[in-house]
Amino acid sequence: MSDPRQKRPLGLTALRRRLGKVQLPVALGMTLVWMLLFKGFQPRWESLGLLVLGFLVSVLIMLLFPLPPITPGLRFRPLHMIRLAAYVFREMALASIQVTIMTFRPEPVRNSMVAVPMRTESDLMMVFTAIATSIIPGTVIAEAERTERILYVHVLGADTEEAMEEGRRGVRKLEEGFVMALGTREDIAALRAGGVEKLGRGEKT
Amino acid sequence: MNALWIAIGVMLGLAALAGLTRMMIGPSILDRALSVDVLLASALTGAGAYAAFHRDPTVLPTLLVLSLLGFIGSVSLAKFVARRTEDEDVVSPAEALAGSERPDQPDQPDQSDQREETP
Amino acid sequence: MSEALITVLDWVAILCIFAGAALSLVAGAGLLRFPDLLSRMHTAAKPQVLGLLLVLVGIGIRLIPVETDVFSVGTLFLVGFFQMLTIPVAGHIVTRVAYRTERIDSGTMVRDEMAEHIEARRAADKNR
Repeated sequence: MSDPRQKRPLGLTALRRRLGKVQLPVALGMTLVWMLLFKGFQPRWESLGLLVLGFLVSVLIMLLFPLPPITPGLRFRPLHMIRLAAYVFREMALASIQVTIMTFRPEPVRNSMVAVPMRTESDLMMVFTAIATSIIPGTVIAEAERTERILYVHVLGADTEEAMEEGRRGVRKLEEGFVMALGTREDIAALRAGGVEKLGRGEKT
Repeated sequence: MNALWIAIGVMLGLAALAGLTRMMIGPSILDRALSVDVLLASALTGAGAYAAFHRDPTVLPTLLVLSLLGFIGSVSLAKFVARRTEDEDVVSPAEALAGSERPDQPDQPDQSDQREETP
Repeated sequence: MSEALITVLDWVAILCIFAGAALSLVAGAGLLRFPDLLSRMHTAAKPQVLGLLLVLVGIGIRLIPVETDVFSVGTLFLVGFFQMLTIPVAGHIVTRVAYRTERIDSGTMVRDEMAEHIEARRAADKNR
């Protein structure tokens, strides 16, 4: 990968190299957003023009702001995905009720910062887990350590060891769900092995 | 059903008032950023309630803009705070974790907070 | 569409929006009541995600009788999608800046495993 700050020769070769960095799935996704924004899903001739224009604009955006490609290794498993979505939504509702109770309880609230070691190597899984953890009320990511693969999670109302363990278990369950729904076979193997491997360090799964 | 609509309006108004109060008394600028977020969330909910009440989809693009504005606002404010405290030589946890030695410095009060107190 | 069905749908929609507004109110109360920034962050995240999703569902249901186009449903999906992607990032950045600039009220923190890890690392460095 080349450093974006270094000076590139302007010309056809540079343009071709930039064009090689355009990721088709991302461009198609941007085109979809464009079509939604401009009411493009109607059976009329303008829709075709909108489609072409949207695709050109997304390619132009990717030429101007190139991004590193997402590492391959997303494997979509619909059944696990549905189960994960159901889990996340249920957890969101339950946690909302819990935080509401905590808000109106008279005693002061006490929190903890919990370290959760990840079991997989994939950055993508870590990002997904972090996003889902932050979406669920009551837990928010404070720091993500990429080299050591540790997420530091701030848990609301965790004043005992059991409550902290509870928060850690929630994050690990999310990680498990994402790996099962989207991870590669290596990720799943790492999930199973990593859980056993880290048992020696005092964390329970 | 009308009573429920009125209740929705009253609750959103109270939420916005609470957010405004926190914005005024919030001790640090990050608290204020947070209360702006809550205000924006109330505004989103309010605009959505308007769209639902009148069965009127024309305000939906406004929701889109508001939802992205909240993100940009809080991120840029957080960046601003981080930039401003950079001169005060606060070593980040990540740097400390990476193994760089941190010179033991006396605990000095946060200067940027004091600056905010003066109107 | 029959009149009775529309009434039922309307009630479902209004209950969704009511729940969303109630979550907003709880977030406002939490902003006023909690003593430190990180606790407030937790309550603030609630109407931004779950409350907004409920309201979006409510709008979608309310618009069923009048709307035949996919446009408004698509916009609703986009709003929900953007919100679910951006709110965690914003929350993370604010939390991280708060932690790094040491704006954390340690009085409410029972145990801080991040600080413990940093301490352990520093001690290991010193021994080396």
